[in-house]
Amino acid sequence: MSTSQSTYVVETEGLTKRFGDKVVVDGVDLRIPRGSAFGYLGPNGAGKTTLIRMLLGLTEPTSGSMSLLGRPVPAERAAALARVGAIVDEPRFHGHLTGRQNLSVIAAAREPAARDRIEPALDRVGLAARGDDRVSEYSMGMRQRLGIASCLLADPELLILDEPMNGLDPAGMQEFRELIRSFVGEGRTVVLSSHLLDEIERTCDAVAIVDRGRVVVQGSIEELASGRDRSLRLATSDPARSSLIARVDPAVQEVSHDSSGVVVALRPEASAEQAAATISRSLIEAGVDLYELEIAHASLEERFLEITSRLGVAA
Amino acid sequence: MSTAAVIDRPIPNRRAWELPGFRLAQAEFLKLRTRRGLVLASLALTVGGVIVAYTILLVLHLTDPAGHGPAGGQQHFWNGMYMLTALATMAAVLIGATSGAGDLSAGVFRNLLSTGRSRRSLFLARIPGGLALLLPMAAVAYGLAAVAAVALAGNLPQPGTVYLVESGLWFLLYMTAMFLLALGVSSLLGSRATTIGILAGILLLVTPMVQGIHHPGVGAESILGIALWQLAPKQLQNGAPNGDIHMSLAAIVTVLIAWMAVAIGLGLWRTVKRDA
Repeated sequence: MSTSQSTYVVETEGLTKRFGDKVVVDGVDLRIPRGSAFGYLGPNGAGKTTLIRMLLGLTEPTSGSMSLLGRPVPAERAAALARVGAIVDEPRFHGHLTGRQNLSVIAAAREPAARDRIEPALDRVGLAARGDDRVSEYSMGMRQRLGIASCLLADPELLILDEPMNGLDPAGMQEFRELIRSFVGEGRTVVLSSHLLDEIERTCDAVAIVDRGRVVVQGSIEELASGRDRSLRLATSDPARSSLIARVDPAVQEVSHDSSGVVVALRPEASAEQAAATISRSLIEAGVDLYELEIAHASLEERFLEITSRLGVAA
Repeated sequence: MSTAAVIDRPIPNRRAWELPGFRLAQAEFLKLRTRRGLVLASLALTVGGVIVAYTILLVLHLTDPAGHGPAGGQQHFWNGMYMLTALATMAAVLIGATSGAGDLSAGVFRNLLSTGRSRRSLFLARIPGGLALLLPMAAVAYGLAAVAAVALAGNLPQPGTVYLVESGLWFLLYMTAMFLLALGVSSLLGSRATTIGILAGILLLVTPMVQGIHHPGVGAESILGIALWQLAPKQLQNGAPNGDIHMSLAAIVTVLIAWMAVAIGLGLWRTVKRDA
């Protein structure tokens, strides 16, 4: 028996979870490509953890279907999860046991070879020297790392990490990002659930944005960020004339001012580079000195806020 | 490690170890034996209780031989067994309740489930894991009581070998039943403290009260503790206030199986159905 070689490591169709009248996960269709870092991004209470819990068989879906590593869940849950490492909510351990003992407890629930992976896993996350300390003495960052080590006991093809950056300092976050990228480099897939836009943007290749239980949009980070209208920022000797000159360019949708100068919003179909060239040429020909011109790329954060605020208005 | 190395890796065949395995039971034992408070309390309630009781009897005898006979002998063994059974029952409840709710209260249950292990096997592994801690303690405590009863008997009648062996086996059965009861209730409720509170109330208050009624026909036969005492060697039953209750072996076994089936069945059912 071996793992399926399907293109997607996670596939869901119409996955729904209700608690009473409340729909927490609402008809989610998700496809997570193999060998990538995939962000599952949404505000708190968007249903991210509930979706992960359903994937892992911790709670039953109300309706819909899902598969992990090409195997239907829950029908082949045991086989599917054999190569999945997961942290749900936050890494929790027996505080009275040492880090090493906690891993041995989890290894006991896995295949016999998992026990041989305890030392390499502790080493990989930098906890080998503290492995014999009680977990109750661990910092949040150390617990997060121990959580990753527990995932590695499965020698996973897929790691599902729920808010793994919570409680980490900037250095810890940087270390985590590197760790996640190294997993992807080894051919593993990492699903990162988070409300931290910046972290998803820095760490992941693709993302699904979820709000109020629904996946609003999914695709590569680049695709999603580029979906927003781009703009040019100009610093010139005469902002008022600059606005008038820019406004007549066919690529321009709107012109405004802020503290840094003139902000030129471009039409969606316009090429930012082409617009920058024609506007700068027009300014120079009109005798306006151009000190600075910047093509502003929309961040995922801006895109996220745009999407979720639009939903908020619609609701 | 190359990409191919990761994605071509075979999935282990789980069928061979789907049943509660030795490693899972070992892990359960590890979780319990490393709880210092639990181990010390259980030792105090088992071995400690016997040591204290016989030490007091010995000191009384040594300081006032005329007023207090030898510390050992059959009568003191009966009394000692009744006390040891009551105290050790609490140790069984402590260990059973901790075993049943420990993973849940620590938030580790979902980690274990995320491995793909079945909920049933995770539940069943708690039984050998918990008994591996409880029964050695109970056996040592009983052994001390038996040795003291014989060695310190002086001119008093001593309990016989067969009687001691039967009493020991009965005592271990009693402890096993109380552990299973606590494990089932704790797995059902998901709370160690609530389980200890409820069972302490039933076993230390309700059961002795019903026993004290000394009257058949009040449903006392259906109480687990009373039915278990009916299984004890006849001489040992003299140490327990069971009144006029007399049950057939079939009735005793039926009560015992019913309690275990309900407790373990409900605990297992809740473990399988619980949202993690």
